[in-house]
Amino acid sequence: MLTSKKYFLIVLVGVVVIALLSACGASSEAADGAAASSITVGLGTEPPNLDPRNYNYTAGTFAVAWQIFEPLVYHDTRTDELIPGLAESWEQIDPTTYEFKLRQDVTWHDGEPFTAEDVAWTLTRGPRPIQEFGLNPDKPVEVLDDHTIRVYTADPLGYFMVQSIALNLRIMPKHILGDWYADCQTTMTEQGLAAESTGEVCTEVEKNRVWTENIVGTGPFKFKSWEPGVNIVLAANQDYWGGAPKIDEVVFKWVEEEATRIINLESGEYDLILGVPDTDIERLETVDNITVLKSPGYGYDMITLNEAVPALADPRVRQAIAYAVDKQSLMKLFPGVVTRTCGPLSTHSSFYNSDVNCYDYNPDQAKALLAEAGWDANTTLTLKTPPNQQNEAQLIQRNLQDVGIKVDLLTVEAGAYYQEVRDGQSELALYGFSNIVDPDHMYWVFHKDWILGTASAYQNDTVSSLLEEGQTTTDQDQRRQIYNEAQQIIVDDDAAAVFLYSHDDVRAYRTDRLTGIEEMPLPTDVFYWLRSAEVTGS
Amino acid sequence: MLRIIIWRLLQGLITMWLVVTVVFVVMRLSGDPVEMLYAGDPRPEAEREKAALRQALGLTEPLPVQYASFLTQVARLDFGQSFVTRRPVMQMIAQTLPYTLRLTVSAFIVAYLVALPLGIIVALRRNSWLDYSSLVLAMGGVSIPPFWVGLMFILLFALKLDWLPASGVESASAYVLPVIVLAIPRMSFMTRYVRGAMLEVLSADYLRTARAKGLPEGAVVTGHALRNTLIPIVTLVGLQLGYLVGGSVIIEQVFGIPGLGHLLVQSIFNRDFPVVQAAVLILSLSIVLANLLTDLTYPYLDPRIRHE
Amino acid sequence: MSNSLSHPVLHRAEADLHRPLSFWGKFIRNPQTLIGGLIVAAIVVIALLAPVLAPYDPNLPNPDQLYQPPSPAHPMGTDEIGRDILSRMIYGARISLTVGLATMLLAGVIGISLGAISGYFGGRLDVVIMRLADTFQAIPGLVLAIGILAVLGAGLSRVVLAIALTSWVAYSRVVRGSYLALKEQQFVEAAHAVGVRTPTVIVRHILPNAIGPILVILTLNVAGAILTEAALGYLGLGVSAPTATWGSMLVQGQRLIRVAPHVAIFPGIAIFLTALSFNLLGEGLRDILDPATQRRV
Repeated sequence: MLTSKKYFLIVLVGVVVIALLSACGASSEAADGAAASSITVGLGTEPPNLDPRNYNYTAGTFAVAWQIFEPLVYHDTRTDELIPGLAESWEQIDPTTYEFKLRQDVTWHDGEPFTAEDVAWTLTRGPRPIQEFGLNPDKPVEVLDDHTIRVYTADPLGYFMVQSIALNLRIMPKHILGDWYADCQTTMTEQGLAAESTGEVCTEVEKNRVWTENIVGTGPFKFKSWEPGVNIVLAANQDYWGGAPKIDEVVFKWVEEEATRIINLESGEYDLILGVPDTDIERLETVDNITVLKSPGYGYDMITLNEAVPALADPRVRQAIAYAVDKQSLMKLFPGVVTRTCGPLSTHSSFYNSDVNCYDYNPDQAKALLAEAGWDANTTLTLKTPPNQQNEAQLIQRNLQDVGIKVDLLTVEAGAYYQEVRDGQSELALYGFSNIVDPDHMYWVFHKDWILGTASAYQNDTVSSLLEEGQTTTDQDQRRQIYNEAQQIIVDDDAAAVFLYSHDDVRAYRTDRLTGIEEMPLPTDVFYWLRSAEVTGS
Repeated sequence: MLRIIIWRLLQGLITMWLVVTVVFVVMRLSGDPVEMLYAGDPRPEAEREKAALRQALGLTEPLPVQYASFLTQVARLDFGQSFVTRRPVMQMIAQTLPYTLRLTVSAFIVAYLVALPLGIIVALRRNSWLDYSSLVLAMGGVSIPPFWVGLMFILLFALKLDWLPASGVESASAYVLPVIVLAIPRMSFMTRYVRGAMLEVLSADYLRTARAKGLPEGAVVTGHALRNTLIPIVTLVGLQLGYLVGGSVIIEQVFGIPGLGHLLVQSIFNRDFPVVQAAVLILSLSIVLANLLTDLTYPYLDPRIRHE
Repeated sequence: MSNSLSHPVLHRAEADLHRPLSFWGKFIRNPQTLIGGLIVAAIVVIALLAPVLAPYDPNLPNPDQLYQPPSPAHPMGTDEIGRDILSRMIYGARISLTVGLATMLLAGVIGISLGAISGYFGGRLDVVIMRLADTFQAIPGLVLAIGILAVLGAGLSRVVLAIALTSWVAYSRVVRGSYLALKEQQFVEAAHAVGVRTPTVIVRHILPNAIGPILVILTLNVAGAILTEAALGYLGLGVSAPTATWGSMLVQGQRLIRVAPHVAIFPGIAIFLTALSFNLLGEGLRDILDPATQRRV
């Protein structure tokens, strides 16, 4: 028999080994402890990189990168006002020419001055950005002096200031990236890549090498460190032109498991979380020391109806489906965080047409329309859903079965889902958009060229020409009329999709740790208010 | 002896080659990584870029060529770049591996630290209440879904009692919960296994001889039984390690540990071929190596085998 | 008074010492097989009678009754979209058993045939099959299953295939061992001598003699498959909605754990009980069928 002394020794050795093994990873703790006031933000996933104009939109990337990089102007989606950012003023000189006067007191985080050259380089560093921003390829920009720049668009663009300049453009440092970018293009050419593709591959693919270290911006927080898998630390930019933030340090961490994220907030491990599960919101609102912040979401969810499928070609069938779906019941799955939206814009958008038919739940009308269209009761439709929307899908399946439409559910893994739907490989599919700041978004979804994909295979020449017109009209009141008409046709006449609701953006924070974030000045700018927030407790 | 070692090494190499091939085939069947990379890109010119990218990533080569170049890469331990992050794969593996090692090795130690003494004690006190309750606990331990236990532990120890963090890797205390959860099924299994092995040894003839010679029971157990009990237990090390590595995939997910298992799951979903291939290779290599070591230590524990 | 009347129990016990118990006699006397067997039988009955036993349609959502706690109307409460959890639990038994048993059958067929071929014929065939087994054992089972499902997509039959492909090795190793030992035995030589064809020898003559260890692995495999299905469901690779599976219910409940713990607790218990009962059955069978371990108990 082992003596208890011997066993005790074995256990002791084991504990020491474990402690040693664990200690190897604990080295970063001491370094971070020095900051006077530090807060921890809990995200859902680790940002893949900190490219401020990353196409693979992840909330995490924005939460971090948008503290570091700034736009020329901000857009307040609720009032449709433009707010000065790196540009202190701007002017539209003619339908295709914009002039920006830049702030003179801005420096990059490494001390270099911020100038019009940086803006020019960000916009023109390759063929892709020029095309993305709709700039005139022959003469995209003109630097008038160190702090004045003119930008030329190829055509008049109705959405230019709001969508391109405010939402999609974050200025990047030429003195850091310029040489690297040129080198990359040379290397890619040497590797045998076609010349016209090098620029795109460099911006899109090689970016991650650049966007994970040596990150220099102009924003209220500076990049401090990134321990992959563990955390990203930002430090206050004491020289920020808008005044130094009151928080010295922001530590971003992430955990995918929603339940764990909430528990970390409740136990004080995190001070602020992004992505609060819908089901926990009502409960969290009653928890002491925790406040739930909701801001109107500028997106919408819909069910796509693929008109290339013969069964869905008849508008009466699509209308019947729209009537058959019980939207109010669906909204009960997200208590208090969704707003009904009847058309392809959020109700919070100033371009939303509130006169469109809402297709309020009416199974009898649905059945009548189906009978009129001669619906074959043996037809089975397939409703595709990503894994996180199975709940909605099951309610919708029931609704449709109730009026005599057989529906199979097909859950597709998130990675493949959006591609399949865009490729037209779906009959009915759950689809959604977020951060729509300009009605031009409709052009991408409902134009007859199916630019965003063939999910609905929608083709209406009137709508298409209206959307083209809206794109090239710069008078906003005139645009409002154009888009009102387009929404009317898309929703009322064609029932091109079943429009459901828009989700609020929800975050939650600990009131015993943070103050000064009562409101969100800019709904589309995640954590914009961190610069004015204050740490209270310890 | 040398011949056996060489033969074993050769077998291990063949296994690794088969593993590499299986992974290569499975991943190539599973979809186009460039599509995944561009998911969400609405621009019409994306098609042209995708084609350029496929060319740059070597995906337009015929499969045998891709396979051959992959094998040479593996032989040089150069797994290229991740399709998604564009960082060197070995760098990503090197960053995540320590977390998984800490987790699995700690769980392994904990499991054996509990199972060895407990198994021996219950074998010596066969049919006592301790024996029966250890049976019940062991059966429960192998039957309960680990991620469920993990969640319950988080609720209890992180939220209600606030003793330990629910996630993270920045302090030793953050490892306590995941290590225990990962260790539970192995601990349960090994306790029963040790008990069985011990009982078998205790009833063996040479122990009867030892007892007959008048040796005290304590000396019989420590001197003779323990050493012989170790043999079947050591043979299981490789298998147990395999279970732990597999289990760590789920546990890392539950506790937000940025380890190799977590990286592997992400990469599988992203069709990030180079990372998946390298990660599976490293995991399998560790298991093959553990089995190899087991085979090689075997003769030293059991003199009978050495003489053959 | 005669002994036989006053001490019937003693006589019975004495008789047992002399006459070995039948398989079923041992089965009933062993607490592990007895308890495990009873629970398994109960679950099978529940699964078979699901349409009779379930109080509600398991897939009927009710948006007005989201995650209600247990009540007389819903003894286990309702879930995220207002479905009756008890009914889903009852139907879920079907899926869990299907996954468990189908995996067992598929893995059993693959593993036993490869093991038998390997053990009986030996030589190069043996080397090839055993290297294949090494390969499958060197890739962690769950990892391989995730990979296979990532290729094939989720769904009941694919889940079964993925789990079976990761669990056949245990069979083949055990069967190979048995065949190696058995093929030299006299009854095999005798069968060959009287002209029985080799496949018949492998299936009819040797297999029944190796059935003990196979039975044990079959039962343990069911438990393992049920747990793996839950784990795959946790990673979003399980059987797709709206099918009620305990694994998917557990995962759903996990999200709701702070709001409505009952949603996760009941399927957790069901998975645990089912896996436990098959594990008990397997361990008990091992004790009964393997004379070497019988001594230990």
